[in-house]
Amino acid sequence: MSEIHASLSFNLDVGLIQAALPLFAAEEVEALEWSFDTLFQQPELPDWFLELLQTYGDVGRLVGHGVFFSLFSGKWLPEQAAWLRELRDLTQRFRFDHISEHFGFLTGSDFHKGAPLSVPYNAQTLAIGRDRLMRIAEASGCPVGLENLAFASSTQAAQVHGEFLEALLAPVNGFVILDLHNLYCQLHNFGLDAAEMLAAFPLARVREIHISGGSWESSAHRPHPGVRRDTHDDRVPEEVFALLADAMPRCPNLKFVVLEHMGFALATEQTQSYYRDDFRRMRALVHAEKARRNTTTHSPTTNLFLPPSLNLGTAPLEDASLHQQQQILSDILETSESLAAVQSAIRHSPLADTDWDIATWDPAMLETAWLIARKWRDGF
Amino acid sequence: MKISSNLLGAMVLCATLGAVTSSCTTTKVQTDDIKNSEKGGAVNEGLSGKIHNLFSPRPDPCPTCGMG
Repeated sequence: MSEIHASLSFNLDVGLIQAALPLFAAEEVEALEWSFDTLFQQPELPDWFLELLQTYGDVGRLVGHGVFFSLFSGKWLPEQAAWLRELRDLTQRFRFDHISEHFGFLTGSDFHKGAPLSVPYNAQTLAIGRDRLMRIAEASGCPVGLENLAFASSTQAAQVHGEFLEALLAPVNGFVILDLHNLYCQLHNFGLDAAEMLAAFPLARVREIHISGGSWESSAHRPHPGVRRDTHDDRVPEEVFALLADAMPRCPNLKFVVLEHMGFALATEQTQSYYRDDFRRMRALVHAEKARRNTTTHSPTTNLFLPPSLNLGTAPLEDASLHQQQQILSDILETSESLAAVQSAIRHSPLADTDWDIATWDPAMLETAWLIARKWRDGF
Repeated sequence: MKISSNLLGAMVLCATLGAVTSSCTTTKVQTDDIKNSEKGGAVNEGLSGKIHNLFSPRPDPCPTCGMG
């Protein structure tokens, strides 16, 4: 069993720094997760921030979490090649214990203000995802993983997500970030059973767990309080803490438990205090799990998630048909004036009668995707 | 996990000023802070006041980058 570290998702954000400072001062932050690609446009980072990353990295307590790679884009984009070059450079400067990305593809300009969209689970997307993961592993030279998605278009898509993650990750010996608030979103939005859904994930691949808060999006197709979204802008719900306590003992390769929060939602003394309370509660649960492991006979850690020797093709895999479908879906979501118009346009698009399986799409989830896409279009 | 007093001091400064621009650099903290740190206490007492002051941000600009 690996040591588990109570960790913060941390970045150059005033609200986040102010909220987390007392935790750093009290030496309670055991590891850091850094969304490195959110700062790719910054020409230079502050010396203190580099020193912080170095400090945690030097002792194996720094992990990288990508946001903008867009793993499943049908077309290989110049931005993805640039992303890999930046990652390669960063891993020469800092020692990351692992690198992770999100599942899905990006249509909007700011991933964390919206929601990534999923893709059909078929042989084409599986091949593209595997190829891209291997490129991340080759560039970073460390374990690579993927986070489970918060957004799903249908109950069935939510139920088979864990199985598809396993198929994606196995060739690169990758790990899963089990985001428990994302799971909470799916439990609520599709009325699913927590134990069944947890069991549907490859828990032996879970190396990192995320917890966070979120918000409710009202919908004509859902009773109050509506659709749960993973917006990282509120306290961690009780249900997510319960999921954490339940999940940790079932994840033998767990190494990092991370609290995520958006800095803009930490503007007041009260929200900052709540944030610290949530972190300390998470840390207490992590330490309780560590104590339990120390008093229980366990098999040793068997998976360090080191990538095998990689056999990359010279050209990244692409799928022109998938790219066209993603462009059409993005365009419909961003330009339609009503949910009915979205539904009609999709029914008459090339997505109909394909593996996108649009007949099963939940109206409330489609409505949420449409609302998010309109915000993206308007520049947020 | 423990981080150095100087690093913590620089974080305090940037957070206090609300400036996280690229030109903010690590700033030396007072000798007392370092002594406190060397005593090995769980909490660096010399910095606690500075951290408390975060909630009363000063209007002064960052001495390095000039941003307030």
